[in-house]
Amino acid sequence: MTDTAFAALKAQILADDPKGLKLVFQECSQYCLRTLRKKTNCDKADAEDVLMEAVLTFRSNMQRGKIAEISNLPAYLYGICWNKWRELQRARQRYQVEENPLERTLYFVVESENPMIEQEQFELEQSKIKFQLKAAEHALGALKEKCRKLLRYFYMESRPLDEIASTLGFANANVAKVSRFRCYQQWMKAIEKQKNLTHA
Amino acid sequence: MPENSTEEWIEAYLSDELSEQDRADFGAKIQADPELAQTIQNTRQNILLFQAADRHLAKEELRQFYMQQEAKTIPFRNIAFYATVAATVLFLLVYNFYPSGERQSYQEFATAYYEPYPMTFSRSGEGAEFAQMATQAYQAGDYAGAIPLLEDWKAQNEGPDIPTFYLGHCYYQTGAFAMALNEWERITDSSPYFEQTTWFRALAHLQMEQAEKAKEILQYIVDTGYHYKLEEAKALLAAF
Repeated sequence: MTDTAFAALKAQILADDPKGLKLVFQECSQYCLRTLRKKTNCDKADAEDVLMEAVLTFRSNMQRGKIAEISNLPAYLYGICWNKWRELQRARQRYQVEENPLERTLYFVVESENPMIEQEQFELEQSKIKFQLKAAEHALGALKEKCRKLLRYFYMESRPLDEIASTLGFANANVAKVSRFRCYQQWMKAIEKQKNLTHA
Repeated sequence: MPENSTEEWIEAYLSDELSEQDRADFGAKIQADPELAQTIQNTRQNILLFQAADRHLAKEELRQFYMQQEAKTIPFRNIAFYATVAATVLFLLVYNFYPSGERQSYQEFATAYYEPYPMTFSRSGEGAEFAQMATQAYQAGDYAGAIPLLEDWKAQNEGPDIPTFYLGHCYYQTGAFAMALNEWERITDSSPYFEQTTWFRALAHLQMEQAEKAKEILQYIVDTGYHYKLEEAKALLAAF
């Protein structure tokens, strides 16, 4: 990939321009899916799930400035796919991974670089966590887009508060911090509401 | 410690936002208060839940986008399919009425001009194990055996031009010319292998009976004045 092409792709991804991801899929999806299935003998659903995980990680790394250059985009993305595949295999060996896409995503998060919970603790509490997962997903739908982005940037992408403030249009880092706290509380209330609806 | 709510303290503690002193003070408080320790554990779980739920939704959004892109390409695939059928019919017609010697000559030229590219370097660090095994297999002429090793090497490597280049040769040697092209076309003009790859791409096109494409590449080699196989490119062009 030339420097110019890389700079264009980076600009598109930073601006959330769909052309960026379109290019990534066009250039890489068939290669990654084919190679992954050939090398791991996995089924199509697994390969696609791994590809989606890899593209999300790629986008996040690009947005956080973790990628300085790419010589070969398909090979680079395939490298991420391969690591994701190994993460999934580790999770399958360690825990009883259900073939439910939502729960599989939970295992991807637990196996990621900086999990919020230690593995031993997760093993002890996984049934309780899995029990709440659906309610947590529904509760996210109750949050405004800005709130969800704020929590995502902070908890998923570990972006600094001043960067979050400028990206989302808050006056400063302190305002972003207070808003983050409120969004978190809103989300917790929405989870409780979901749980009550389920039990009612 | 400043007068914030317990929830804010917990959030700041888990997000690593406390000063060293505050963190130590709050840590002591957690040790002494099992209820607080439990609340922190619950908050950790909640953040994990958020991460999983948000990741899942983001993944679903991405999947939708991907499906849309795939759906958009289907009409083009259909066009490509019909174009391939038309080309095949045309090829068969030409095959039946054209002197067979000329049709085969492209492949014969390619076979005559192809030489396996030597693989003589050694490597250390990440991917060294696959590199070493791949080199041994390649040097022994076990091209099919070298393919998975080169794929592994490529997957581990940040700058995968070397395995990609040789992977192309392995596919070529096993008769998978389209796969060889697929690999070689990944090598960009910033690569030290680009010049050599250009020549081998022309040969792969010849093997695939894509004479016009091959001529275009050979002409490019001549026009650019590449050092690698320049005379051979001129000779081939003159022969067509």
